[in-house]
Amino acid sequence: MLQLRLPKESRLKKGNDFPSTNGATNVKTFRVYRWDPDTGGNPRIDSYEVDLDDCGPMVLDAINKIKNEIDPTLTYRRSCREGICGSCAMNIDGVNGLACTTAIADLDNDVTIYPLPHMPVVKDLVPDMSGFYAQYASIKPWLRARSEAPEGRERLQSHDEREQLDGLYECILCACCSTSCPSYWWNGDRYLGPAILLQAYRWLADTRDEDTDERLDFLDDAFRLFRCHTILNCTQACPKGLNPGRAIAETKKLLLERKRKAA
Amino acid sequence: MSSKPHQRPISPYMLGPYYRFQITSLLSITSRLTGVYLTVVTAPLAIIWLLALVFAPDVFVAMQGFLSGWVGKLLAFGTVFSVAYHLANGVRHLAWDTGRFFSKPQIRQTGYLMLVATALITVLTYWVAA
Repeated sequence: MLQLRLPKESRLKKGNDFPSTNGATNVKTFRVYRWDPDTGGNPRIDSYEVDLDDCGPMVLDAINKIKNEIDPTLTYRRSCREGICGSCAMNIDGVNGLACTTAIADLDNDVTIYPLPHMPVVKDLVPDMSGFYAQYASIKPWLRARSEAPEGRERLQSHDEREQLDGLYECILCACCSTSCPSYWWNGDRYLGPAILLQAYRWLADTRDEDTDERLDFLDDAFRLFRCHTILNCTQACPKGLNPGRAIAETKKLLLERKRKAA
Repeated sequence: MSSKPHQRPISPYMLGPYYRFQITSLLSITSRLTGVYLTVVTAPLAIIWLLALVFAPDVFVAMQGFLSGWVGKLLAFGTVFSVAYHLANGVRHLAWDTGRFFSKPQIRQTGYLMLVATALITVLTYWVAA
């Protein structure tokens, strides 16, 4: 549903200020989205002044510092702190990215931090990803082979065949791309979104997979695939430098090619 | 602690206030808007204008007067610009549909190229019409 404004109960109000107290000179303000399921009410924006002279270089370092030293109630997901787990995906300064691979030095002025856009909020910066994961499960993201597996070894690929998966297998399912996509905001219940479609193409591009037709049947849908209008916020957002936009275009081409062959 | 869980809010999402306009989304939404303009303003106006020309000469004369005023000129500019933009960006989309020009620099470059083409078509149209 096309809904331009945030629903009333989701609109932001001003929250608490946490000014720097130790006389620090190199201070940056982080304006962070807060919502507590226990108290409810409208989400608020709390402002934290962080001493950058006593803080690591990345946005995640600043958030950790806030939680450890200023406000232990701040809730967010993080794990690997090196851009491989995808947990700390959030909307940083109006653009989706991983807090752990976004340098504070690259951000001007105050830094605003929101959860990934247009997601139900569990608490603070933690979005409910269950819809996203259900969509991932819907594409059956595993090798679907019909032929008998070779005796005593795995299904082999040539170097060229393996190369087809470069730029696809690296996806960490952080959802930065999907939640940057306006089409996914309006139709996220039926449109699969860039991350899931890149994953779907990852199996279409795999020479060992033998279920191409069924996969294309599933994707050939006005919503699941064709709500992509090539806006390309996805490719712009991907913190791993992947290209969901291209993967979707290749999928559309495969569908067209199949139709042409059938005719 | 309250007994029933509170309803979860939707995280902020709108282009502009919460998600930064980037060349990708900005050019895309302008494409939509020019399309809407051509459908809602240009097409009905052109049809009424042609019908008036055939069936109601006095309405046609009145329309000519209106269209040569500053509002009419503005509407005409909107039409010329929208046609130019929608055409140029349409070609860009056609190229994308072949699987080309998807790298991040190319997305930017074809965007700027499309804007230059839009300006050129607009200026040329006025130059030829003058």
